[in-house]
Amino acid sequence: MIAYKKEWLEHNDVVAQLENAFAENCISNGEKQNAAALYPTGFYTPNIFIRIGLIILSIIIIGFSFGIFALLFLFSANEIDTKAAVLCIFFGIICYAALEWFVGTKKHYQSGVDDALQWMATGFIFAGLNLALDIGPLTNSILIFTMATFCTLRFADRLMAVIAAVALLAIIFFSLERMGNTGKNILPFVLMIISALIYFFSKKTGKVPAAKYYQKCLSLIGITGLLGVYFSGNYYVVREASIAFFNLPSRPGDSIPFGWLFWLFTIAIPFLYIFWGILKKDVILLRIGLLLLAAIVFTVRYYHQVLPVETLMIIGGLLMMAIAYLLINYLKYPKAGFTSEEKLSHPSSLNIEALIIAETLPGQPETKAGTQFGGGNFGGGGASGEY
Amino acid sequence: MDICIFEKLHAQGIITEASFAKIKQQESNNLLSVHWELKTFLYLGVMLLTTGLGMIVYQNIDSIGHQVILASIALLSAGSFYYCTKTKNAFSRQKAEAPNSFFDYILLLGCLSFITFIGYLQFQYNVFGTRYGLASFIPMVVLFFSAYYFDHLGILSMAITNLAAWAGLAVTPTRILAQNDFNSSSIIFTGLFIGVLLILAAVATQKTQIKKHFEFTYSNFGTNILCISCLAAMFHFEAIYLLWFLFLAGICFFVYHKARKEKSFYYILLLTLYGYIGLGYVVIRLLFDSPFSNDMAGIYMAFFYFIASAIGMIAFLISMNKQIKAL
Repeated sequence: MIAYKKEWLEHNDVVAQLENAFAENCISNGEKQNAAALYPTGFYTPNIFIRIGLIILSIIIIGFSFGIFALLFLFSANEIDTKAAVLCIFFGIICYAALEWFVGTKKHYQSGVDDALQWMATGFIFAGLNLALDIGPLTNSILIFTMATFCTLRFADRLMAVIAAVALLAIIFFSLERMGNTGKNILPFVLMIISALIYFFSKKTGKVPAAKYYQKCLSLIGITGLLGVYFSGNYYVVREASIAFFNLPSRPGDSIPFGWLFWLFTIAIPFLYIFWGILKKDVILLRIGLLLLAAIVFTVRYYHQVLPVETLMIIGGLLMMAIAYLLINYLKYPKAGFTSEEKLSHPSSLNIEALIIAETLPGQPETKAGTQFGGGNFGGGGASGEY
Repeated sequence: MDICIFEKLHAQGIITEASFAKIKQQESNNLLSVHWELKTFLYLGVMLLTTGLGMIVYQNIDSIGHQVILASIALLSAGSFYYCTKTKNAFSRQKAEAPNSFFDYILLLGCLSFITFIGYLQFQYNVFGTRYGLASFIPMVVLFFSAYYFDHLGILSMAITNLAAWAGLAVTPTRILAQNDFNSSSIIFTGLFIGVLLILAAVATQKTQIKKHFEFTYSNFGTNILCISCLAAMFHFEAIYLLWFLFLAGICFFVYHKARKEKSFYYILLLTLYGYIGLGYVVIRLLFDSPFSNDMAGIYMAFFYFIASAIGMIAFLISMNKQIKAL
């Protein structure tokens, strides 16, 4: 099923392990090079920045090619929908054929060209079928699920894996939505159970030898499942979705059936994840749990103004700094399998950190009109004549 | 790590006994590093605390409490700077390592609370009068000084955004296009000036070997601001757009040499994208100023141009990828 040469994928994995061992100072550079020479791959995988460039440029090429055909065929206004549909599906097929050619003959593997072709192929076919036929949301979810699953299996693409998992949840959502009141009432619980099953599926499948080419996809499917469990049971999501789809609470301020249960889910699940993550030493569970702590704060604050936001920020900030301070000191020497020291195979990138600081931190003066150069009324240079 | 692979390599004699022992030890240790999680926590803590303080000050204006708040912010800032001066490693023209994991964040706390303090002084007491520039000039100087004195890349990038803001320009990644009105010629010239200034700073950093690791931050901000301002100038001063295109080509040429010298794929991507936009604009202008302009042929030619040029750019990227890897 998978489009890539399995032997090369395995070799890729070995080389990654060697790089890891080298970064952790376990093996020397010479050992790494000698060992890597035994595991050659013929894939074309450029640097990540080149990949980004190739994605953008490929999308431009496909877009303008489509534009030319659209100009040629869609100019006469009769039956424009059908023509556009045929053109889209035709382009989708062409993109897919090109994708197979690049992967099969040109040995592209995560090169950017294959990413762009994959997105455009599925996008065109999806758009074409929707233009041609009157498809409802349920059928569309099934369509997306089918295409994304196929692409995941064939190209081991991580984005497609996530899309497939989300589409599966959408299928459940839209089929239960049709079932009337019973369906609506059990909807959040069913979605939570299915999400949990998705998570356990990814965990179990990850151990199967045949799934070794899909490890990264499975790990992302697992994350989708964990987030799915939380957001299917989150009070805010359940309440607002009930209003948007079913007009459930008729007056604003009304609670929803089983409101207390959803509050329990909202607050308990992140702590459960963190606890479970520490117990199992599972970094994904731990990180998702920490991330979802923010979701608790936002959900609670949306309905209850317990504290003014600035007080909450100051208390929260102090608390987080204190927790981090205590834990860093506590874990300076490894305890119970945890350490606060940096892993050498995951070094920090100070340049990215610096950009994040510049982007997110407060305290940057707003740029005001009238303080620009050339205006002559700013005070910094001391040369202008207004004061 | 997959121990089987290394067992096999060890049996083949490619990995020495000592290395294999290290790998086995690493494997049996099975340590989980929460370094990143804790650092993120620290960072978020600093961010929340300073944002909260910044808000509370303005909300308590005219109440008795606000001077207490102001004093505590000043105290927080002074305390942080005192801690940093006490614990810092000796100044070095090279990269100076932080003495511990908290140092960077305490410095951040000090700088941010200092900025809040200055901003509030100006707001409430008009300390700097109508010289608004001074109210952002002083924090900028303090930030640049702290960045060099304590060796902190994050503070340096804050100093750079403050420098640009002082000149009237927003330069952080998400704000550079959203918040600047590139239809005004003064913004464009400010951008060009700041861009050139930062690139000169990058070159000087490289030449003098003072804090060489600051070079990327300067030149990254500089290159992006300069290229965006230059493109904006091309679109704005239409009459002489070819001149601006030549200027852009010059920048791209400079960046190209830099990328080759530093084996940087990132700069190759930048110059390709900015160059592609500039060239596309020139070709479209030429097409529509030409006899084809009123014809469908012009549109078709434009489409074909975009396809052909993108294919050309792909070929360029692929060959650069190969060349830089081989360097």
